[in-house]
Amino acid sequence: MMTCKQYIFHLTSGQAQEAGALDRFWAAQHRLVCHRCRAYTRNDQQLSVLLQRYRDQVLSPDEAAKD
Amino acid sequence: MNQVIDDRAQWICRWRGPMLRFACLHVSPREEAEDAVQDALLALLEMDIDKLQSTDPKRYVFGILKNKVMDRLRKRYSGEVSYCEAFSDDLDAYLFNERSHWLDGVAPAGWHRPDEQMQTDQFFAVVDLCVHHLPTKPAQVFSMKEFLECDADEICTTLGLSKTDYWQCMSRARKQIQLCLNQKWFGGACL
Repeated sequence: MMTCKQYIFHLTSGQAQEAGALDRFWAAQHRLVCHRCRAYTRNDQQLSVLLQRYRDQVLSPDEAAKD
Repeated sequence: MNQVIDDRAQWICRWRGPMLRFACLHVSPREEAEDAVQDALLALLEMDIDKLQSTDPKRYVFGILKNKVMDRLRKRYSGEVSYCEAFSDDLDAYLFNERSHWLDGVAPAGWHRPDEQMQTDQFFAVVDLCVHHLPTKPAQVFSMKEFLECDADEICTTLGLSKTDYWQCMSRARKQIQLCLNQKWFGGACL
């Protein structure tokens, strides 16, 4: 069984995207029993969306110079 | 010909700011970021007129800018090997107990309807603040992954770090940004 620290590292490091079936199974098991890690996971998913929008905002043209 | 020159001048006025903001995410001091932008804009000015008319200039120049930034990162980080000393503090000690479970009152509560809050300049200013408060090396790894859209192997090669160091940096960055946003924008509620 994963601990919270192991689960959060698995999620935030990028290991989750490369994980095998067994690691994914243990991560899912941990989420089932830990409400804090479930909330953290939902926030982390939102963070990915938010960072994409932040990047788009950084790369948007300057208003003053628009046609 | 004059029309093309006018178009280029107008394009530069419009996009120099975003290019500089993008470069500043990865390169410091600001003067070095400005040099990278200048190099990329020079490439635009030297571009063949026919090619320019058949290309998306934004995509072309940001592609050059990415390469200029990567060149600078390669030079700066070649020879550095230890990322273990990247963190002056231990964030995990603040988050987890001796059994490696959450300490009471530090795990961020779920964010409610963040979509509605993502469109404001004020919100992006807070994101900017959180990103710029990251320790230097995790910030470098994180910005290459999220903003330069490099893959993990490319980042490890460019910065001369192991996969384990890469994971440590990414984890530190994402954890700290979530905590920072939770505290500074989402009310600081914890579980």
